[in-house]
Amino acid sequence: MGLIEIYFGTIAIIIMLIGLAQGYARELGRTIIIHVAIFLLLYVEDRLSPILSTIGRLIFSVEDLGTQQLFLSNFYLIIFVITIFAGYAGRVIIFPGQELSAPQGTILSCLVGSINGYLIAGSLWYYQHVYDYPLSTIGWINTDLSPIAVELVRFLPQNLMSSPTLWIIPIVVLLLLRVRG
Amino acid sequence: MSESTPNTVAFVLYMLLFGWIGYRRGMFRELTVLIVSVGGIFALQQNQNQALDIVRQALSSVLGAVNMGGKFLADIRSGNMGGDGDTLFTLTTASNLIADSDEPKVAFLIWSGLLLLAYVLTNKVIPDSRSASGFIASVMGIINGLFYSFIFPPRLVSFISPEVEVESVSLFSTGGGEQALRDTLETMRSNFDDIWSTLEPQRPILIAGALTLLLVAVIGTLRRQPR
Repeated sequence: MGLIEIYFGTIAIIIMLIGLAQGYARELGRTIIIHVAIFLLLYVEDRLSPILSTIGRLIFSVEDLGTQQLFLSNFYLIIFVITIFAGYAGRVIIFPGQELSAPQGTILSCLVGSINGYLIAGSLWYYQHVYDYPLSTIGWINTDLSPIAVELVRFLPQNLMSSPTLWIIPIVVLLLLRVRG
Repeated sequence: MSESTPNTVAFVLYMLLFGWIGYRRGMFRELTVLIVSVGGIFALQQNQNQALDIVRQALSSVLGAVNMGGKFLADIRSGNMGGDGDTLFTLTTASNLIADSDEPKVAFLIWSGLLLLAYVLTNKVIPDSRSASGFIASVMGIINGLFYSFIFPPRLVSFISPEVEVESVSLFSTGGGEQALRDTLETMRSNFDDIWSTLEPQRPILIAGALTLLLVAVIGTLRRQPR
């Protein structure tokens, strides 16, 4: 298993390339969805985790801490991935107007794609980090973090903006701009 | 309010000013100026000797003319119009004015002149229609402003208040253009680190604000279809 920053960096690059292919007008709608997903998970996490732990113990017989963390981490990962998949596969809010032509349009698509890539890959990494990398128990992730990875953890989206209410600001402003037309 | 708040505000205003200049001048003009400024450093770093020689020759011509004029006036005053009298005075020579050790200073002056010329000429030569205003133009302006912020302001502070010690990037010292750029980037990084650590308590809200502004700026580039 390779370095964790390469693992999540590759995910971010793939998302960025999707953004580049799709154009930034569509990607901005997905940015809202990603923000909403991050907000919802951050908002409910503290309240939901004790309930989920109880459910895990009662229904799935999750007893030890490692398995419990794997259960919680996977739950949030699955919810996050489903939301993001809905954003990419389904209909999203599209901002009206024509994109700028290349090279400016390409640069902006790359920029918005990079933001989305950072938010998605960063969130996936975050839900591994806060639950002490439970996927390493099944050999999917190498927990020996390099100095770069340790540094990058500080810059994960949820570590930079830990309060869920802050994630509302871009969502509200973007929605207001969309409604205004 | 922390002690460094005014400095941060000044820095933000400085960046906004260059962002606005970039917006007004457009992307192509700003990009040209950036290429000239960075390329100029490399070119002058490699050719400091030639630059010094050219400046000396130009200065020699000017000083030669002034010396000759001075001699002529002195001859008229002394009534010796034959031209074979001793020269009463001779102004200094170019070599006395510019020593070999002044190479970096001369290169810096030439580079500053090039930069000024690049700003003036890009305004004259590149039409508005070829240099689109907008978000990227503002970003280009900010990049230019950032680049100059570690070159000009420290020298300006030293000029205004010589007693204040300010570290400035030496563009044409030994080590080549790469070293100068590396020094510039390193100074930028350390200054950003300072600002970043100063803003620690307000960091999340600033990041949220910056992210929102960035997205709003991107949305602002979507052109409306004519109805």
